[in-house]
Amino acid sequence: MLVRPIRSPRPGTMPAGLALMIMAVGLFGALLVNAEAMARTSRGQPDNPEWRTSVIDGIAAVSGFFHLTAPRSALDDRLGKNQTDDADIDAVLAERASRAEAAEEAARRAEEAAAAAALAPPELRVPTPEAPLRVYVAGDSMAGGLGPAFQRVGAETGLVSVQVDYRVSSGLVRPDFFNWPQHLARQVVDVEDPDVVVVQFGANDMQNIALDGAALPLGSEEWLAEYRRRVAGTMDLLQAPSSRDSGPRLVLWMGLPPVGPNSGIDPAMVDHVNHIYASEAASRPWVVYVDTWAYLAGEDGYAKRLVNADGQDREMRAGDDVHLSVPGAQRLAWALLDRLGGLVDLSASEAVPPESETAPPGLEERVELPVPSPLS
Amino acid sequence: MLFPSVDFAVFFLVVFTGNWILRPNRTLWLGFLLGSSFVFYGWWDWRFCFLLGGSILFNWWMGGAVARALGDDRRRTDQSRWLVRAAVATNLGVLAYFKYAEWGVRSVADGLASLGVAVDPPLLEIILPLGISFFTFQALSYVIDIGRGTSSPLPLLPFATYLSFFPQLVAGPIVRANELAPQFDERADPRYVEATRAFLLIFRGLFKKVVIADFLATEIVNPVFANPSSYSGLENLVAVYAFAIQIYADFSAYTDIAIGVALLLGFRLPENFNAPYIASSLQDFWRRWHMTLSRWLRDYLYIPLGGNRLGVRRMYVNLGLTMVLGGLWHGAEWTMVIWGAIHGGFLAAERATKAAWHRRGVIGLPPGFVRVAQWLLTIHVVCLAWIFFRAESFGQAMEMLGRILSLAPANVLVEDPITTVVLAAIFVSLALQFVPQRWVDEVGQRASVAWPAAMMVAITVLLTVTDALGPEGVAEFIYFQF
Repeated sequence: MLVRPIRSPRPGTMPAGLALMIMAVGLFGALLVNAEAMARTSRGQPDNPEWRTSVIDGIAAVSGFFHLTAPRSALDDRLGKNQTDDADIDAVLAERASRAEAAEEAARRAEEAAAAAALAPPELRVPTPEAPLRVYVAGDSMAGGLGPAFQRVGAETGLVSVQVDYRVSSGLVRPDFFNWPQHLARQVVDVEDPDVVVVQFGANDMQNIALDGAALPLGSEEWLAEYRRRVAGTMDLLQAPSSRDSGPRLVLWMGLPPVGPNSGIDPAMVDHVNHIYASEAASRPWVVYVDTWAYLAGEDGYAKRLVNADGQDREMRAGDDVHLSVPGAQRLAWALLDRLGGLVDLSASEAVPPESETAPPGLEERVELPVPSPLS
Repeated sequence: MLFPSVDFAVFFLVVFTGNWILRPNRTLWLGFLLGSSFVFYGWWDWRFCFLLGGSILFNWWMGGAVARALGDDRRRTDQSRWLVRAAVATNLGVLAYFKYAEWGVRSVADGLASLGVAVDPPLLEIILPLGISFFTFQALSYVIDIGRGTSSPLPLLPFATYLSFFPQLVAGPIVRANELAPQFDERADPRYVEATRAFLLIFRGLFKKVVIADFLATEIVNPVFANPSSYSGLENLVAVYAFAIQIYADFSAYTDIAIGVALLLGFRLPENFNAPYIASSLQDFWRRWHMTLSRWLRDYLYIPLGGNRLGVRRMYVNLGLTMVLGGLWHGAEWTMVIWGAIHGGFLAAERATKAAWHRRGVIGLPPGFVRVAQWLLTIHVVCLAWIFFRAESFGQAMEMLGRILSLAPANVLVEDPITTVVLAAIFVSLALQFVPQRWVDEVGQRASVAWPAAMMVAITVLLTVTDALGPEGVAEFIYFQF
């Protein structure tokens, strides 16, 4: 019956039972073929019940044993999709170290390690309109808000050219979706070789970390340790100078702003990841932590609307209580430029920050972040 | 739950089985469909179910009350008119609260601020329940049709099943009670399910959503619309074309899947799209784009306003008003009002021009040239309106237009978003609209006699390829927010 053409008295129709069988078998086939990809997705979802992950892991194991997942893996390979769970930052760093410039790099690192003792950010060249400061904004969809706004702000200075590279739904927790450390090492550091890298992660990282086939529950000690390792590794590989010897590189690591009730994110987790960013940046002179709370928080933390320098209040956040609205992105972009101006000589800048787009004067970043409250 | 998800696949297999097994017992069957729809809707947020349930009970009761208030031969009475008005006011009041309260408060505060009066409006933080615009419009059509004497009230169970019917609950098509409810009585024969057409519709929808719409959004639409000033005029222009394809692919994908899913359950839903970008006039466009909304606006807004019965000038006003309110239906933003005004204005201008040409007679240009010129004009008016539809603010839309019209160069170092794949996705999607329907039907006919085993393999392969080509996770459909 299954290998004969369907003959129905009414062309184009079939019995409901046959339709059910076709759907059930077709969907089950898709489940088997895509089991590994689904398992990777499932492991990374924080709200996924454990039984769900266990079931799909079991199916993936059986399917993998019979090589039923091979077509999907081959397709992912062709499409250049990453299929590993592990961020494998060490491997990326090792790969770099094995290159011909390894010795030179080691020497440079030693030199910079000595400079690190002074804990002063590297001194960047003075940008000019002919040789503008090359800034690379990388990160998740939050960077997709900040990046374009900073592009415009940078263009107004006449001294800063900004390249934006954001990947929606990405972060440091899901390298199977997008492997940022690898991308930053191979594409950004080696090919683009910017003077400054602005990094914005975290909003999509509020999920379990899949590591060696196990799931590290979000917020657990293991999770925090692994996340810290990935953040530190990413900071390290961004420091690595390129083969073109174009001078030192500065990294501005943006903290997560406070999130609202619609975000589905535990505010305590925001404190935790920000604490990791800030503390790891503190031990690396080439990384400057930017405390976005100074510019985007209200009196009680999250604030949907804030007053700008012109005295008008505007909606700073998108409906999901996480992303920035256009005014929010503009406000943060001008603040970022101000911060950058404290690290690089931008005195020749032509930009005049409009009061309608900037935060009121006098806002200051926190010197020390509050110690995050323990997670239940 | 989202259509392109494992949850929905499992849910649907259960619903499909129950639907055909329980069909002989009408009450049990309708109760099962109703329960399934509430599970589907409550999957997002169970609290939404109370609103849907409230809308069902209120409109069912009002429908009955309006029917009882009608005179002999279902003639309207003062009482029936007032009851219909009360139902319309209540439904629109609830819709306005959820959709427009925050916008209204903000607009008033901004207006006062511009006059120098600083106010600190309360932050309402209202969550918009999914699909409220769609099921409210369906409920309105039900009560109004009863008030007009063209439709009869339904018993509670069929009415509740109609208003909550899950395939089209969240993003249409907007179905009328007299289109769906009779199918509860006819009850399709389980020996003749139009499964092949349904499978093709569902896959077409999945591909359009997961591969085309989400790809264009990520690659060009989102970055350019986020900051038009960093992109050249050409890049802005291509982003507008890309958004035109994205929103069509996204919205028509939902409709395709909804119609396919309903078909598998034995129901026929009205078509919502018919190759809208081949339209050679705006009037033609609105006969092809979101057809069930156009029909609703025509029957319950344009005609009651007087339509074209009250003179030419009034007709133009009615057109403009209908389209502006249609714009506001999409979202509580001034940019949506402008989107509606562009469509209303050009619809009126189009009619005026056609009337003038009609009086003047043949203008002597080759018909082929005229057709192409009309098509180009139509698609560009539609794209012009899309700029306001998609832009986050009026200023941003104007900036985009300015850069396009001045052929501005890119002013900063940014990655060129116009890639070969982006251009191919736009051109192929546009070209496919010109494929004659009979070719599509022929594919369906050939597929319908395929081996069942081949269909099983095809489902597996197509799902795999679609999932692999799409980005991680599937973004919600654009029309969920309306």
